[in-house]
Amino acid sequence: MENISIPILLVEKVVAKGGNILKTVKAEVKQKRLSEINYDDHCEWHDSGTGDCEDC
Amino acid sequence: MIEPVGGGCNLNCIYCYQEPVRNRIQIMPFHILEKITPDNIALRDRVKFLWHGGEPLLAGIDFFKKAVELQKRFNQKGIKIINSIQTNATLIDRKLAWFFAENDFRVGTSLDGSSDLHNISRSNSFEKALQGIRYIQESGKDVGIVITVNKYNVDFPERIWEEIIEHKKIATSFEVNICSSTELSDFVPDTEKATIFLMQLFDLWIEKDDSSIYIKTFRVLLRYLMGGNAGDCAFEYSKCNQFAAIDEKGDVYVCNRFMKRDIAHLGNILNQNLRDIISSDKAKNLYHKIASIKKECRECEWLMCCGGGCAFQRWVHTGRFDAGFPECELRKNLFSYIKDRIARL
Repeated sequence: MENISIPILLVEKVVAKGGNILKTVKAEVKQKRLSEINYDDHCEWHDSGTGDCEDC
Repeated sequence: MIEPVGGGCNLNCIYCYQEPVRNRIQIMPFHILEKITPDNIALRDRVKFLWHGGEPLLAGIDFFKKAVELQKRFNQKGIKIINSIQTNATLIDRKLAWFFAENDFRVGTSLDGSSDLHNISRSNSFEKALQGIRYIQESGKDVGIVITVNKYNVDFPERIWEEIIEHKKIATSFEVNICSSTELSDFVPDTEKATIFLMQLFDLWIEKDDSSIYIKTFRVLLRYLMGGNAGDCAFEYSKCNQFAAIDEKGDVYVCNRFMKRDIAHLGNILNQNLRDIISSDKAKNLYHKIASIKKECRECEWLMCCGGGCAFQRWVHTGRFDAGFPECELRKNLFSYIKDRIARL
């Protein structure tokens, strides 16, 4: 897994340059890690087109 | 996931995976709805009723009024209940839109591009669908939009992007799916073209860098590539056991994509309660079988990002769950591209 992730330093560099999308996704990943959400409880595909998952 | 009219639909979209049952329209009787509701509520502390089809609105507004009434009646513990509906939007009128808004339904629909591109694949329904979306917007709510890439729109990523920009104020999210699961392969886009389509759309999105444009397809991949969880069963290994789909007769299947397929039939809600059906030996064996993926997938560096793909898509072309995923090459190329593209930002 480690070898396919986008390196955090690269993410930081893009965010520092004002990368809004990466900044948002980074915050989202952090928030999910900190929360106690059980990710097995939901699936965005099965939310289909109904919008974002309620936990995100 | 509940299909109040099974796979019955008022449209005839070229890529519909419900093709074999599309023309059978039979509305779920209330006594089945009365059984499903408490069974679902009893499963967890928070449950979702995802109304799907076919076209679920063929069941009519009274069906959904009854559904909400039953949810209130059986929710004695006061758990969180979420209602979502996936509809082609052509049957949404002002009354329905306000009903959804008042009862906090999340509404998802489909647009395959501008009117000419949409109308080729989705039964000339663009104007009606857009009107339905406008009614939802009038009621103060947003919609999620699924865009299905098919043989006819695959050459036009810029035009799809323009539609995304056009509709970003009314849509909370866009999901870009590649048409590949159909048994009617005439409408499946060429893999190379579909890959280029996704790469170009990704470029347009990442260059615009507007985080309010939520293209779910790309966000789930970025989330994973940045160390998070994709949160999407089509990209995660062995998630099929998290769902159950119920048709208008009360028959329970693993997922709505397998509706009316004997191989994925788990039981009927009139004979057993839902908890017993999804925890039965039959269900466990099937979930185990569905989770089998081929050796190359198990050893693939992208497994944790791809999950071996949707089990239905693996199965539908070959009748085997451990067959290759039709979008394998496309996904590998896309994952690599996104990773490299981020490095070049």
